[in-house]
Amino acid sequence: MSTDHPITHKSTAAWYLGIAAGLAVALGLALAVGNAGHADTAAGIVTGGMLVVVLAAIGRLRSSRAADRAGTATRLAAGRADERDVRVHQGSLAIVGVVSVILSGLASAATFLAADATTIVRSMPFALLLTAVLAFVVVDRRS
Amino acid sequence: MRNEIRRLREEHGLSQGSLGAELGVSRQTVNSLETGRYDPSLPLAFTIARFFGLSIEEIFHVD
Repeated sequence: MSTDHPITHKSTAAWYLGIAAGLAVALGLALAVGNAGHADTAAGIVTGGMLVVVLAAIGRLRSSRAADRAGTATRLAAGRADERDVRVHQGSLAIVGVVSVILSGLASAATFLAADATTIVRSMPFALLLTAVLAFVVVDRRS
Repeated sequence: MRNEIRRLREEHGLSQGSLGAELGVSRQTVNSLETGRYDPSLPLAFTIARFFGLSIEEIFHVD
């Protein structure tokens, strides 16, 4: 054992940095997509990015004011996760990784069967997001 | 892995939340530890043992 910090609290600066980085990526992506002539999609990206930031802020507020009632996802979003929260997060991400390999293989095969590649690629993030949410809920309940 | 955390906590008159605060983890983590759904890391096991003044072997038992 070489640490006396078993809790994985992120510093306030790291949390703000993460939020700023996420926001910069969302806005940059929205700008690029908007310039390519997809204004509605760009607006959707900005809305989604802002929603994530607002949820993370609410999670941080909730985890400091009502720590006892905050759930695993809330603590993770707030940067106040303990070791079990981190393990739940890692476990669900591992499932997403396996599913992504399987899905990309199936998607690749589907293009050979005359499936629309654009539709497949655009639906992939939503499929993986759904997988992440389901995996998180299951892993959280079981651990 | 079985453990004696619930018994020890109750003997000390602590709630799950207050034990979690002492150990630096959430109430849910204490609950998961007590129900055996979550096995702690070695540092957390040492922290728990130190808190109750016992050895790890006296608290955690391999099934």
